[in-house]
Amino acid sequence: MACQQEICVGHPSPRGDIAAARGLVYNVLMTAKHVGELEHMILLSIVRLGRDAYGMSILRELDERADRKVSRGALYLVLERMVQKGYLHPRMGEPTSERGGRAKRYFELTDAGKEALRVSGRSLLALWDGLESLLEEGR
Amino acid sequence: MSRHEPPSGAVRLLRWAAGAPEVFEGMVGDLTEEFQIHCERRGAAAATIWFWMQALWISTVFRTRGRDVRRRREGRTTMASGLLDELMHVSRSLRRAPSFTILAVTILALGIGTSTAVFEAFRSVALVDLPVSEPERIVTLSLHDDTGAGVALTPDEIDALTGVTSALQAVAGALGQTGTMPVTEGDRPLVLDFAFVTPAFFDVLGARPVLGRLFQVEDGVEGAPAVTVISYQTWQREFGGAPNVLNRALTATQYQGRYEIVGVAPPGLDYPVGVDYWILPGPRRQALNVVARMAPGVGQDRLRSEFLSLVQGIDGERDDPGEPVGVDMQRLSDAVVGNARPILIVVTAAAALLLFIACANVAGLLLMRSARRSRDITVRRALGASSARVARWFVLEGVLLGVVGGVLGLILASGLLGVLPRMIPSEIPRPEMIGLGGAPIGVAVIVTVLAMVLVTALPFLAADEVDLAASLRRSGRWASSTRGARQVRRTLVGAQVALAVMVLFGAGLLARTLQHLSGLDLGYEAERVSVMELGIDRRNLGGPAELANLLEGVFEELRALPGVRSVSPLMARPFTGGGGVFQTTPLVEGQPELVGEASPAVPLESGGPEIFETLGIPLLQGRGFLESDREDAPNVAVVSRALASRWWPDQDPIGQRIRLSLGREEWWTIVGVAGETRFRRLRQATPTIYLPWRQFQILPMAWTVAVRSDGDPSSLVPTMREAVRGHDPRVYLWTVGSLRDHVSRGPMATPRTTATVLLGFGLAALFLAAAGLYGVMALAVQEQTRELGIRRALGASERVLRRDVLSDALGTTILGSVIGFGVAMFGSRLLEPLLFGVGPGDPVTMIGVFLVILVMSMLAAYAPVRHATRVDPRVALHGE
Repeated sequence: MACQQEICVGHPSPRGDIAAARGLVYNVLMTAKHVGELEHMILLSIVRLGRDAYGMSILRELDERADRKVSRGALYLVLERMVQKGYLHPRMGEPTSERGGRAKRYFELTDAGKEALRVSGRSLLALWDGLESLLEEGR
Repeated sequence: MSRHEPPSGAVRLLRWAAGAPEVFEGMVGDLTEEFQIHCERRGAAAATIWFWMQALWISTVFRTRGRDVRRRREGRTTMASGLLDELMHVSRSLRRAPSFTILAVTILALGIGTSTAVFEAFRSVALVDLPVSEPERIVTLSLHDDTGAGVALTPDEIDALTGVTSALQAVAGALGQTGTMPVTEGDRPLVLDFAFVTPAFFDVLGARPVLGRLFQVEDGVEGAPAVTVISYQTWQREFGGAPNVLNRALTATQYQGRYEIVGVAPPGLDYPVGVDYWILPGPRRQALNVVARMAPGVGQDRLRSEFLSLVQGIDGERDDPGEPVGVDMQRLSDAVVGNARPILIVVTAAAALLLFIACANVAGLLLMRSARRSRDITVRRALGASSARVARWFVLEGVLLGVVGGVLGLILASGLLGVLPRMIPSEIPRPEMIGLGGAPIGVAVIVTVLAMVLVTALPFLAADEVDLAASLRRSGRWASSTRGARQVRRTLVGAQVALAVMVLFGAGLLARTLQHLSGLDLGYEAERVSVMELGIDRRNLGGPAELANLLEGVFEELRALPGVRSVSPLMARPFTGGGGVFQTTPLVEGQPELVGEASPAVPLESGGPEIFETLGIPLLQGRGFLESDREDAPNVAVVSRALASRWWPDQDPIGQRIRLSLGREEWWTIVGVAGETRFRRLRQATPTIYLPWRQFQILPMAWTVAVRSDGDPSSLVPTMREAVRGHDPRVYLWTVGSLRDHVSRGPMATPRTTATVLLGFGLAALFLAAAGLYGVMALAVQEQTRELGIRRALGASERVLRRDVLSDALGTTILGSVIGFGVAMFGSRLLEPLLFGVGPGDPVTMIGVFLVILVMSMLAAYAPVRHATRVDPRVALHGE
């Protein structure tokens, strides 16, 4: 992973900073998860939905475009997890009456989220490279 | 468009599950939006069900799979949850190394379990206060005359002391030792030890009964019914702890006196030591020691001098001819526990050593595990884990192992404490206190914490030793440990060897003691002899002559049994009465009367014509007793060789005469000389005067009879029991045991138990030290594989490599042994009171232990040495 490389090289900066940075990286590495399939799909849906990405719209997007039925529990959990990982940035909208006076919680990708999505997508594409035709032939 | 409200219960459920308000807000908003659509399409009821289903599902997912999310959100990442995460991580890693974990936990559980049990036993017996009020103010006082012989007081004299002096707040009398007599409870004969105490005894102590009442002043009034208080242990053992014990009575066989049981004493009140029931002195005058409660703030010296002058003041009216000149004072707790303290301390110290060894061993295991994972540690540190954080990992590992080991140890300790009271020798007072406090959780926790500190502190030091750069540069399978870490591991093994040496040395000394004791020439033949005690209802017997005839009849019955060779009455069962049951300072005819130390008291034994044959005591000169040595014949005596040579060094003892100072003015003519025996004491032969029982009749509470048989004496017991009962219903067989059992269960019991316990601990210690040494050596060889390979390639012979590795192992062992022996030389002084025939620094034991340790380390080093010589240079250097 990219961030690991940067730290291990180390820079001639004050020792305390390096120690702190190391601690941070250790923490991140200990908790870091690969972007899983569901996470991948959710991140893509959010990108596609743009500023209108919130729970229900994401669910609908997954259902309609990817034909993927996701339970609400799993969706909300994964969303929270990605917020905590720093991949998503949540934002509250205005309360509306059809929502019983409650606001929407919109999500958008952070830089880290975009990077993670890129890395995962790239590796998937790399794996797919040249195989599509093979699988087509197999049909 | 009509608006529908989602079910409030489900909303509340979601609020609880979501935790954070903004998550809840978005979630419920989404659900409400969809809920409205459902309402329109399928109706409110179906929509409500749908909402509930969603709420339940979401909450389940959030509460079960969403723990990480919740914890991070709640900001407990730094300490608690980080620790919890790490603990889970550690427990997973331990689970993944099951053989290591099982080994470490087993060692810890055994160490913690045995030491918890022993510490708890020590605590209950020696440290828990006696069940009396302000025990520190209660003392026992015994008087002695200028020869050192004890001077006793009568109950009346003790009563006279009460309230006279300000230093003594309250005074009671108690026999310093327990006695025994045949008693029955209903038809059941009981073997119990009694103690005479005056009625004020329990009041002076301030003890409270667990059942019924204790003695009161009215019990001592003449004509009051005879009563007894039984000990807690007796109540449990003989009466099963039944509350209706208060309606029962103990009946003394010989005069059918009934002692009504009025109460049960509190557990742990074992004074005089070994007492089973307390009774008041009967009409016969009884010589007693004093139990007193000191007035507050009184010094021991003042009490001693006041007491002495008080006793000397009443001296004019005293019966005892001895003139008291000194007072021996003991705290009651010392009087109860004092004699048992050496063995208790020795066993407790051994258990502590075993615990240390177990901890050092597990610490060593953890260190080796850390050495095997040093690359893992290095990577962690390179990724930014501070050394404290790596150390925390080890501490957590140690703590986790300690907790599991502690719980298992507690279970083991509870089991051990259940059987311990039945295993310990009778010298240990208050066995009923052991296990009375329930599971020794407090002690186990202390021991476990101690173990965890020991186990974790050492790997902590070594983890800090891991050299980051050096380890990272290594590319081999094993990152080599630093010199420091290796040194710590070696020190740990050396310490284990040292501790094992200490325990083994103690065990060796006791084993040698046991060997000396069992190798002693007893002076009699203990095999194939039964010693029985008869209970006799003497109420309807006339004088001593009638009793003697009754006994003669019983002896005849026994003698007539097939397989019985000879029968003789004895004064008392073996190994009772210290030096002897009766003692006298005889006057030798034609010699000046000696007093004091020049004429020590000599024990008396009485027996029938077959006493020497029955016991197998050799007659060196003259004759034994004859059937004709009876009341109407001239008095005769047999003396042991030591007495003969003391009194008549240059003369023939046969025909000489002595007079016994027992209020009988007759002369006794010496007719024979017998060998020395160890019949009353094992560690010391006692010079003895033997008298024919018909001429020296005593009226003991139980009549002791020795029977020599052709075969196994135990097979004769049923027929002997019948023969005794059949002869006269007033006589019954009260106790019976072989003479061999008396020797081995009596004076040999304590050394044997102590030796067995220490030997068990010692073998465990040896095994652990061997395992530790093996581990360290195996790791050292593994780490040196490359070096060994290079040396092989450069032409080092197998012999040289073998020698190097072996000398490495032996170096550790020898250094540990030297330190261990150094400490053991001091520590073994604790054992001194228990030893016999060996000194605390016995060189034979030392050499023996050293050889055992040496052999152990050779065996432990065998596999690593073999491995070292089999290193293939090509394989070893492959990694370079």
